[in-house]
Amino acid sequence: MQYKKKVLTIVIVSLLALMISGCTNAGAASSWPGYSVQGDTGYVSYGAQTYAVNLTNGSLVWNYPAEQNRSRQAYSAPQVVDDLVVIGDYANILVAVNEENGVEKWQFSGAEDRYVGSVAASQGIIYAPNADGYIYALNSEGDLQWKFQTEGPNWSQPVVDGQQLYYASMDHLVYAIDLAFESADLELDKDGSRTLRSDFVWKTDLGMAIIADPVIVDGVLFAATIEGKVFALDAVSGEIIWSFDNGGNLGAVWGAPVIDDTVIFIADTNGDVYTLEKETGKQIWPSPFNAGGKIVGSGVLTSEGVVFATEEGKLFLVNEEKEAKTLSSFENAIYSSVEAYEENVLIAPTSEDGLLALYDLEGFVVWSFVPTE
Amino acid sequence: MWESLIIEPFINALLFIYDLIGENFGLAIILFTVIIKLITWPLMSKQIKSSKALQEMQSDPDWIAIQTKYKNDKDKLAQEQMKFYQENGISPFASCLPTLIQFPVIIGLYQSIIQTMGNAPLQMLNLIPKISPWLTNVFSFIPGLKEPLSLLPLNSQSLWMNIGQPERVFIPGISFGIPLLAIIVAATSFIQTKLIASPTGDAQANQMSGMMNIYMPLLMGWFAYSLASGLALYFLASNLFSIIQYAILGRVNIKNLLPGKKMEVTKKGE
Repeated sequence: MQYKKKVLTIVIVSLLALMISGCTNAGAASSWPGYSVQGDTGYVSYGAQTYAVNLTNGSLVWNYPAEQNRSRQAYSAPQVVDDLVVIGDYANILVAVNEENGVEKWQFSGAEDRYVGSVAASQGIIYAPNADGYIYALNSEGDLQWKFQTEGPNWSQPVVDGQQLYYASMDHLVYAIDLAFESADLELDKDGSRTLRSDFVWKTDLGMAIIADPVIVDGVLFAATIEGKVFALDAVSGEIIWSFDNGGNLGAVWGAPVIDDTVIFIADTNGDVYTLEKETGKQIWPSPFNAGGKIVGSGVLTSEGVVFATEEGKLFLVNEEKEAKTLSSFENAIYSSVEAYEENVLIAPTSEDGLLALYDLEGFVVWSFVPTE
Repeated sequence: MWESLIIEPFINALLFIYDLIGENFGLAIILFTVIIKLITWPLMSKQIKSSKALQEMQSDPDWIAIQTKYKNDKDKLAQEQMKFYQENGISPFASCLPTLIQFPVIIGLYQSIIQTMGNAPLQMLNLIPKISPWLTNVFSFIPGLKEPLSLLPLNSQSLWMNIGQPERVFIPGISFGIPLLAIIVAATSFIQTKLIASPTGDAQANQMSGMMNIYMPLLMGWFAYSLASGLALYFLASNLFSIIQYAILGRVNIKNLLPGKKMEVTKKGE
């Protein structure tokens, strides 16, 4: 009888534990795959693994780490910097592995929060945004050179253009930092690191958090907020050239704007795709094209139009004439960006259709990469 | 239904409090927990009183006599028990109803805190559509209120901890972080269970209660150790509030905390 009581107590406590941990989604994926393309290789991070995939046939080149570590979940897109692939993870660690074979070269563990946004690089310096409110500048050996503090978490990818680094932060601000600063502008911190204190060229308040990666084209920086507002900023002065919110009906924008010669494609979490005149921000289509599900990842420009994916798992193409076609439908939600490879598009279905798959513009699968357990 | 009736109003109320108190999410969690507990106070009081009545009934000589007399006749026992309930004005389910009503509120409170933290992309993506300016509009006469969406991302730094991360205190000379909040949560859980424990004459029930008194604080401590510190703050505020509530209702037994003391059995009329 006493044994039964003990078992009952343990069962009750275990059920409670299960209930509470279930409520927190502990162990469940809290993001989506991130990937980038460099030449004929695609680099995709999802969960505890990063894979290098041969884009010509979908075969595995290497995976990192050799032994999975569940605490090291990486979701941001790995980026190739010279001969390195740089991966940021949810265990606050930035890792660089050899681009050829995936052998680890160095780790940087100086950040205090997660890496959600991808790194950018220029002239041998890696700029790594972190949710702890810093952008870390490291050399190719992984040594911290300096850091820059924003007023909130950083989830988007920085953009480097010439001698300026542009950064759109969740603190509502877009920063332009002059990378040719004097060493006197660096302030020594207690831990021996150096922080760039004040040398930003400009900062502009967009009023809401920015998660979408900004894009710079012809001296104009395009950024969008979670409120559902798209801005064109003068990259020199930071002044707002135009903004667009469709009378408050534009949903939260998570993906980077897709920019053609004269047209900008914007997709939002209402599932709407808008076309705007690049110069003026004026809406081109009288009403948006509705894809029927949240659009989170960035789209990609192809020869036939722009390809986006939706939370409902729909991969579709829409052109400037608002002619749309569904390329494929997947079982799982798709939040990752769509990337181009030659005349085809890469997608991360995260289902039986594979972690990464290449589709042609008629919707036929060219290959699908399914990681082995 | 669950989202629109419980989670979304809770998330917006939590954000409203966060805005009101100067964007301190830790304090907002504590305050929101206290407010929800105050709202559910009448239900909780009723539950405590009803369970007290049921416990007292267990040691009533007439009740014990019925149990003994009809222990081999289940139908008759049920009849006599019902009769006893009616004669003494006891409703055996009176303590269940308040619990049933409170349960979704407490679960909703817990879920809304997790969701409002929004410290991962998928959480943030799900959080944004749930935010509405209705509370800000209702209280628009309060100066300085912000558009709720503009409060995102929440300031995760509160007191000495990052609300979105498990809490650790680093002391110079010690190479590892001390989970201070987890220790406090486990301690307050232990104190709470000991203080409010009211054993009956049933030895088996007392034994089970004794085991829960050990397992529950350990479990709560483990959650506080491994989950985001915002949740640990919720556990702590909830524990402290329960202790105060039980104390106000006269259901706290300080002697249960004394080492070597066996828990006192609550008897009728105490």
